[in-house]
Amino acid sequence: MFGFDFSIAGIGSLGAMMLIAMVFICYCFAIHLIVTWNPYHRPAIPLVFSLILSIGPMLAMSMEKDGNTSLAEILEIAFLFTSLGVGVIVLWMPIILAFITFQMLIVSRKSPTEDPLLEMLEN
Amino acid sequence: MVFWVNQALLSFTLLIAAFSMWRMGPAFKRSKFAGPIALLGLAGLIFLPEQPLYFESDYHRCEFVSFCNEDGRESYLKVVTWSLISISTALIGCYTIIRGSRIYAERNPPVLAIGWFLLGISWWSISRSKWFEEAYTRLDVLAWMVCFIFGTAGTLYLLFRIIKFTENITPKDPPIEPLNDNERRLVTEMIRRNLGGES
Repeated sequence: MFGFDFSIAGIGSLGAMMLIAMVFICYCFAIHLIVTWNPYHRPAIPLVFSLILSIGPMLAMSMEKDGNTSLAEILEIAFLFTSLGVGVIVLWMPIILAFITFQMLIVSRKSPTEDPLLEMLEN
Repeated sequence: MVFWVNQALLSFTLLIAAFSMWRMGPAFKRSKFAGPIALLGLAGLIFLPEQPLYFESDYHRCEFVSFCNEDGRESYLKVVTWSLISISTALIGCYTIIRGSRIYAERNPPVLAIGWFLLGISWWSISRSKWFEEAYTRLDVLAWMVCFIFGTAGTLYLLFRIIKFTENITPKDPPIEPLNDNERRLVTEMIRRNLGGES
């Protein structure tokens, strides 16, 4: 029977936050690769890695209790990981918005400069 | 009835998919499905089904998610609604500022003022939120935020190495022929129109 002890790094601990970040990013990346699949792209290896890194911890966590798992449990854990991931990103929002506001200040005062590429075209 | 946790996850997945589709392909030919899928995802996030009652089969489903109860659903909805309103106000504000500035055309002070007003509303909503006040005064939450960034950076680096590895093992295409005179004229004209502001 397989089990994974998450109590070493309880959900509130720092290691667990890094794990949540990994699962969240890999989950988003896997979705991105699937929906943007096209003949000029070779996403098989990145997709397999991102699926392993995102689904692996979810499976391990769902089997933690009694060694069994179900789709409902995995979906519940996927919701936990994604909502925590989005929640932490929203927590960064004031800092991100401060940076964006500074950029908007620069943009508001900026005058367009002559593009050197246009001059090259003329010549 | 769909369990609200599953609907929230599916809706979030649809939003990520819509964003990816929206950015896919050349700028003049974006996916037509991105908008409807994004709307579907947003609707799914906002109109969550009710929490199951004690005699319904899904009532005992919340084994792992501690906030998976009626209060949890309400809190989740509040955070989602607030975040959507606040983030979209900031995005629309930024877009309006960029449109009103001298990047694409002549400066337009009224448009610029509207943009700054919208950005100000976003800042106001953040300053009124007790959520941020509580989070930014707790050392453990700040530590989680920093660890999340480390986790994100580490994962992105790992994915970057995997993509690099995939590129290295991909057979190289033969060098393409240089542009002929017609193609060169076409490319020159496209650059001139895009950068020179001519129609």
